[in-house]
Amino acid sequence: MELIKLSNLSKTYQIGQNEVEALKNVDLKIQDGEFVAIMGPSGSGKSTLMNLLGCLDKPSKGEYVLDQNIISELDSNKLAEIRNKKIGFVFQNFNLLARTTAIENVEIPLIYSGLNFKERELKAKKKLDLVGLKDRIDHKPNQLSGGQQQRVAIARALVNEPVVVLADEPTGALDSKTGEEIMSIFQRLNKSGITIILVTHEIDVASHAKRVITFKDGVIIEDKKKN
Amino acid sequence: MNISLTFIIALKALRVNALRSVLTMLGVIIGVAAVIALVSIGTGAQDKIVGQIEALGSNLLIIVNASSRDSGARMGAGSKLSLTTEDVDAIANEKQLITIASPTIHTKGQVISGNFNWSTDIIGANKSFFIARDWSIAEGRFFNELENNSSAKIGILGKTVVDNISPNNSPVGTLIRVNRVPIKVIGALEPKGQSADGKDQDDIIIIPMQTVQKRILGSNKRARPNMVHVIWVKVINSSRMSEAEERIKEILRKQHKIRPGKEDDFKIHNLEEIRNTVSQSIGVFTLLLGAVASIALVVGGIGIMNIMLVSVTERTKEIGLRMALGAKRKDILMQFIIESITLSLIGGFIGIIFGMIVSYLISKTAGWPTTIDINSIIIAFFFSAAIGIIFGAYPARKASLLDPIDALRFE
Ligand SMILES: Nc1ncnc2c1ncn2[C@@H]1O[C@H](COP(=O)(O)OP(=O)(O)O)[C@@H](O)[C@H]1O
Ligand SMILES: [Mg+2]
Repeated sequence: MELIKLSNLSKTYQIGQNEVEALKNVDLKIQDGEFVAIMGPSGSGKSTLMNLLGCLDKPSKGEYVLDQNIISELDSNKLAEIRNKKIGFVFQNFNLLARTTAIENVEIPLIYSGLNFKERELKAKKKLDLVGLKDRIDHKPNQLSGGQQQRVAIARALVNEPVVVLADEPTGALDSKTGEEIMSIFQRLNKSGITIILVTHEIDVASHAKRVITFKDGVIIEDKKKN
Repeated sequence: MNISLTFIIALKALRVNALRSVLTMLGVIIGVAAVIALVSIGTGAQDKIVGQIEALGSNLLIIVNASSRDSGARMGAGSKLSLTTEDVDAIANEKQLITIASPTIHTKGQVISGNFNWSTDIIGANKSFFIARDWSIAEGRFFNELENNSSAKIGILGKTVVDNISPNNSPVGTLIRVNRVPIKVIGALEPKGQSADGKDQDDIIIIPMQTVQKRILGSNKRARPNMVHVIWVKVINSSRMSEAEERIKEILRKQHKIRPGKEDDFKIHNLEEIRNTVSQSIGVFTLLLGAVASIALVVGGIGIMNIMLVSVTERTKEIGLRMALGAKRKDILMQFIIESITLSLIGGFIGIIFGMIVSYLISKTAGWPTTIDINSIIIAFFFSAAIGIIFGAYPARKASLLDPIDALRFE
């Protein structure tokens, strides 16, 4: 099933008089269950693409369809709902709330879906278990290692059963060994059927993916599928 | 997203910067405490003065000669006394409206007892006067029937007079001189305290009316045998005060043969009315005090707004994250509004307790009567909630309008 479809998508930033074209007429289709790595040099538009895919930003031109929703036409409330229900974010610097326990961090998306305390706790525990943090649920971020924090973030990304997980350089702040651990989690998740799109500029990291798309100056210069 | 959860999130956020939260609340605490304390002073004064007016006697109409001042004790030159004992009888006849109509005559005099010497108000009265004014005896007795209708040389003293001429032992049974007339003291009155206009109501000696008429005022050229300075009228019940007032007016105008269009030669003070007027004007004063105090509350609100703005800036990244995870703009708006309402309500609550303590201390140390009105507590509570909403609205709106990407990228 076609999960994501970008047609002629462009994003232009205006800085004073200058216009920066971060993405230029991008066409891209991603199927349900794919594991895609986005590569490319710094400034090539990878993060811009992720923000658009994550419904955090709107394209300047073109159309974006996610899971049959025409995202380019939705208002801010509808976009918040899409982010909440259909998308799981994993950030480079984890982005956990400080002074807040692992389980409370994982529960945040569920709060905005209107679930009650019991349901939230149940779901959050299950996902923390899935990333191997069963015995760390009451730890606060400053009591966890970088790898553990990123695993909390992955649990949070998964907690609302999204259709796609978007990870922008999820191993960027980790050492290579911990990075490998995180990647094996992603691989496992993908095997269980979850669609994953991640940005990286490390070949090793990208090698876990089944498809590698390379960007340069806002355009796709290579789209390679492994078999 | 429900309110109680938002409230918990707000409490957590406030606990993170506990000291800052408390300092922010301080503005509201002081504001609310000031409102509560100052309004309690105003209300206390109101209660006291109304109490004093009521102490004059319940359901009372006081009729005086138009040209005489106050209770008739001080009469200007040429003032003509129109009220007579016949008027009293005519009023007393209105039995369906009036329970008592009791005349008095007033003068000043010197009371001497042994070495003690005291200048006081002399009131010539009948025994019904004590009932009209709800005045009870502390020691001894009132006039008996015989004394009432004769010019018996007896008197009943107010507390102040007792204190000044017989400080050490009971005056009852002793012989004193009032304006050189020997008078036997037969009783002493319970104290009534100050009247609303600051006059000592206990600085008084009450002597049968005829005695004052014949023996004490006897030498006075203007003393007519049937003259009356004041008529104290007790109305059957408080709801019929105005009706009684109108009726008495009719009777007296007829008695005095005043032609239509001419002015009354008497004046009727309706205590019920006076009480309402005084009560209202102190109410305005109290409102003014409250208004001045609420300036502090507004300043406290500005403090909240200031801190909320700081908080929004500090937590920009958190806001971005929450938006990325599915928070709608209205969720963020609610989060910050609830946070500022929590601040102001906790502040308001502490302020109410603090204000009650201050009010208690004022009444203890300065001796002012204070009354804490439940209304002022309720108003203070809702006012502080309103402060939270009003001054939290702008920072919260600012937070909710952040762009999620910019907010996420904020360091
Ligand atoms: N908010 C922004 N405002 C202006 N220019 C931006 C903004 N975000 C990104 N850009 C520009 O768009 C281009 C692509 O940036 P980005 O998508 O962050 O690249 P990458 O993630 O591949 O390093 C860069 O030239 C960058 O300077
Ligand atoms: Mg980037």
